[in-house]
Amino acid sequence: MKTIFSLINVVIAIAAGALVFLGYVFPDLLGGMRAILLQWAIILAAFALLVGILNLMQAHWRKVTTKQPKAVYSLVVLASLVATLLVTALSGPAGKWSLWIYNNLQVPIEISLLAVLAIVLAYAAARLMRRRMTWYTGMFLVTVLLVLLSTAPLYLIGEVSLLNSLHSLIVDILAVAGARGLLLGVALGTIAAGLRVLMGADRPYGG
Amino acid sequence: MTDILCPVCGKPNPPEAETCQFCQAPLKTSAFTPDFDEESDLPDWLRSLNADQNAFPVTSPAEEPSNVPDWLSSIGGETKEKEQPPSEAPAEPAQEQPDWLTDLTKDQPVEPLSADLPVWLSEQAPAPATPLSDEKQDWTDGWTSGEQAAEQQAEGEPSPSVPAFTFDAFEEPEKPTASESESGDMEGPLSTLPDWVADVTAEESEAEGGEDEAALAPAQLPSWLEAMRPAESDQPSTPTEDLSGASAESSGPLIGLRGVLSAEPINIRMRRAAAYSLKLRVTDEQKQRVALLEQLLADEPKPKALPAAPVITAQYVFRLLIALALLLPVIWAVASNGRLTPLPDASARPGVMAMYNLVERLPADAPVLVAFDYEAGYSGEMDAAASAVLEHLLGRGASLALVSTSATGPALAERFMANLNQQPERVNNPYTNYANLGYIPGGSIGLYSLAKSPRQSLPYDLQGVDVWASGPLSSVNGIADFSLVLVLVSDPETARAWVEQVGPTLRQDGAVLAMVASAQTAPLVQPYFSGNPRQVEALISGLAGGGAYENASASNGPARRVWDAYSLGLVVSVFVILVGTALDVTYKALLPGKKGK
Amino acid sequence: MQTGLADIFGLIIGFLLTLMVLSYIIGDNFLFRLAMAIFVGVASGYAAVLVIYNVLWYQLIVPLLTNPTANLALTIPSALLGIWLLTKGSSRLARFGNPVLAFLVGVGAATAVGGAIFGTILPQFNASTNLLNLQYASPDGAGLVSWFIKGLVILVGTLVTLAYFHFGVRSQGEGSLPQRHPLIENFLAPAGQAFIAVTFGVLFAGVYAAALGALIDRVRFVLDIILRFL
Repeated sequence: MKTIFSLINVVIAIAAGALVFLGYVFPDLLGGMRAILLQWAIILAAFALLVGILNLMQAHWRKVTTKQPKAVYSLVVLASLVATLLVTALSGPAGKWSLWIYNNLQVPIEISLLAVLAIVLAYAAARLMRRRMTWYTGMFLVTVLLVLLSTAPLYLIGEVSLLNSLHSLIVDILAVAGARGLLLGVALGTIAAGLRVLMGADRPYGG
Repeated sequence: MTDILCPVCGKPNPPEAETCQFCQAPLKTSAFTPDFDEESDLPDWLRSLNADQNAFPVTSPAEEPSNVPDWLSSIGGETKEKEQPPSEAPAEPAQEQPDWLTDLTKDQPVEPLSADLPVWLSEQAPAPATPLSDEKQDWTDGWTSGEQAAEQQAEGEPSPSVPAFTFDAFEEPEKPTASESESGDMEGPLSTLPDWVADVTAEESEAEGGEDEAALAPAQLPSWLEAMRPAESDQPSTPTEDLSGASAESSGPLIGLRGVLSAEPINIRMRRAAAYSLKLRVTDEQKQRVALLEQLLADEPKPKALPAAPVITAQYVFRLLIALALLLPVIWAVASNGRLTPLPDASARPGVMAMYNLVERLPADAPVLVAFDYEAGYSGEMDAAASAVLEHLLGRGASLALVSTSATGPALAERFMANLNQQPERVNNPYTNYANLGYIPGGSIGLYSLAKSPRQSLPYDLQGVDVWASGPLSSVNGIADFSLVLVLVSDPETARAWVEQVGPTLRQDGAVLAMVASAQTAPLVQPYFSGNPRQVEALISGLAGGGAYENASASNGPARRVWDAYSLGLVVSVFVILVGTALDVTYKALLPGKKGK
Repeated sequence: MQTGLADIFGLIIGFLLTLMVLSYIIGDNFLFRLAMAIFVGVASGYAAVLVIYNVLWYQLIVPLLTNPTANLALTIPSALLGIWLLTKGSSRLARFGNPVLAFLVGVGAATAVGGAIFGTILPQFNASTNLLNLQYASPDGAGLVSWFIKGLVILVGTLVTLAYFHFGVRSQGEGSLPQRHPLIENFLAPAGQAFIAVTFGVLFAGVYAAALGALIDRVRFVLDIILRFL
């Protein structure tokens, strides 16, 4: 029985994927079916987000009820989640109070997190050569310094043509070459992983 | 001394032998045997009798008791003569036998006991046994002799009583010995013996008497009986059991016997059951071992409290110094609010100029799709990078449709537009020419759906208004109908998804895709911009690109406000990284023994 | 007035939360974790309402109520499948939602594969070949050499970067470890590694620049609040 259900899952995944992919090749023939499947998938993705949030609530609720260590943080998560739910539901996603919560709670925290990252990255870059001293590490560090220096005109000095040329060389030529290779590699990997799913070799849906 | 007859094979053995030298049977059996010890307190006559006949000793014919009357010995000789069948020649050569005996046996048939014998002796005399050759001697002899005796008795001949079981069957045809011949005299002296002695003696006499009878023809045994005849090899060569060490019964009818089953029921002999302690018997050594084990378990390493890590370490101080080195100049630059550093030149940045030209070429009221696909954490950079572009668009009269594939995107878009309208020049004339279409779930799936059918993907805006029915978006049926698709993105994967899913559809219909990317995303979007043909027509990279755009559009946006702090921060960062690297490497070089953390 | 108070109250809260998160510079502490907990709750709550309001309500329920026959093929199946997918929220019923998940995974995989082929592989391959395509050179031939060198470097850089990620090996015979082709191992891969090091350096610099912009934004915000209330 388990094998039959697994087979059904595989058939569903392959059939849906094949219809959508063939829509790329034969848009006139399968365009309509493809649009319907995509619309279903969008709705289902929204439900999947709700399932994720529901799971988050369950996990934190379990922490609170079982009195696990540091359950106070879970309590705060649940309280803030419920309060935001209520306020946003009443006010609407673009409502004044929803935006008040978003602007005064979420945005400051997220920006501050990235601000802390600046200090952490500076500390990590300063200690890079101590960890690994190789030619490639040296190239990496030199590139970082040159790009940072040439990103903006120097303070009180302004544009330096040498730095601009270096910036153009590094960012527009060397980094483009490497980035294109990375993009092609990522795309090839995506194709490989996607084909494995479409052929039923990989079954991340639990089949 | 007289030989001891083996109770099994009946052969004579020396008196000192413990086991039969022929069949290895114990000569001292557990069967009740009168313990005739020479030292026992027995009458002399009995002792002498026992000495001569121990375990049915059979004295050799050569031996003759010295006190056997002649008449008795002569009778024994006659008896023996009569026992022999006439057909059988005497074993001894004729010249070795006394003449009188030879004469007797040669001519005279074996006759039953004559009337010459005293009555008491004839009664006691055993039945004449059939003289058999040695090889035919077996355990059935006693039966046959008994049978013959019975026949003889039935015929009226005086026959001795047939014992139920005698050892005579294992005996050789023996010549009556002096002891046997004395059997007739025993009655008088035997009158004082226990009954068993008399019985034994009587049985012997009866057996002998049976033997003295006319030689009987050997019985024709049935084949099955013959087959049951044990072979000599079957005879046990070793004693089956040595019961000499067995305890003798002390009570009951089997008193004195060794190795027999007790006649008394066990329950009579039962004693009170021994009381066993339920306590576990633990020796001292075991107790010591248990104590040692307990000690080991008690000393089992409990989680040793880790030494408290020092709060103030060299690395901690180093990190704080770096933080101060970065923060202090930035604070100073922000607080001073200077505008000392010029904005970057847009002409040196192709992406910025391309964006500027694109916006400049837009017609009035052109529908523009703006995607707010960056995280709120990048608001500081993206607000400064994109503000000039959006202000330029709004200034050109473009109608903006705001979308997002991020759940926080719609709120971010609202915040962005609110910030734009909070500028002093916009307080009285806020931008309203935009529609927030909201959130498209599904990532790449949502983008692909948006590219194929934006109306179906986002039928209503955040307020629930059908913006497609009327207004600037009423002329938009597909995504290619937008004059410009501008994506504000901070994540490389999101940027790639836009290029892959929406880009082909836009290129097909000649529409334009442009991006304002965070500084961390721009390097990976650059290949899409710098390729021929371009997949991304215009690219603004980070705060520096926004500053360059502000420079190009001569606007006073947020990039200008933070530009001094930004440029100073970059220079200080380079300095901090350089000095920190030098210090770290020097520290490591000076202390080679310590490993870097 | 209420709005003003709300704004001020919001600013104060934002200020406190900023300081709570920036306290991580000193070290991990209770205030930082508290701020993270608040962030998770707020973000989740807003996302949940947005999805229900913007997607489920307006794309599912409203079409069903206003014009059920027109969108029957879209609304009812997706609604049923969505309810079916909710079983994934229960540990006992999770396995019953696998068919719906399989459908999502299949559509997502096909979309990703199609986008990678038609959105990256083909156009970027085309762009790489056009690097030395004179059709795209300057019409007047100015800077042709530099253009050619630039194109060559980009093309070679792209190829060696791809070569670095080629980890296929072949056996060299008994007794020796499988190795990559010597051309790849000794020339192409090290060159590709150099290009990758440069690319990652540029990416790192970009991340740092973005973080620096956030740091400057927060410093401005804090100073603005302090100056406002001083």
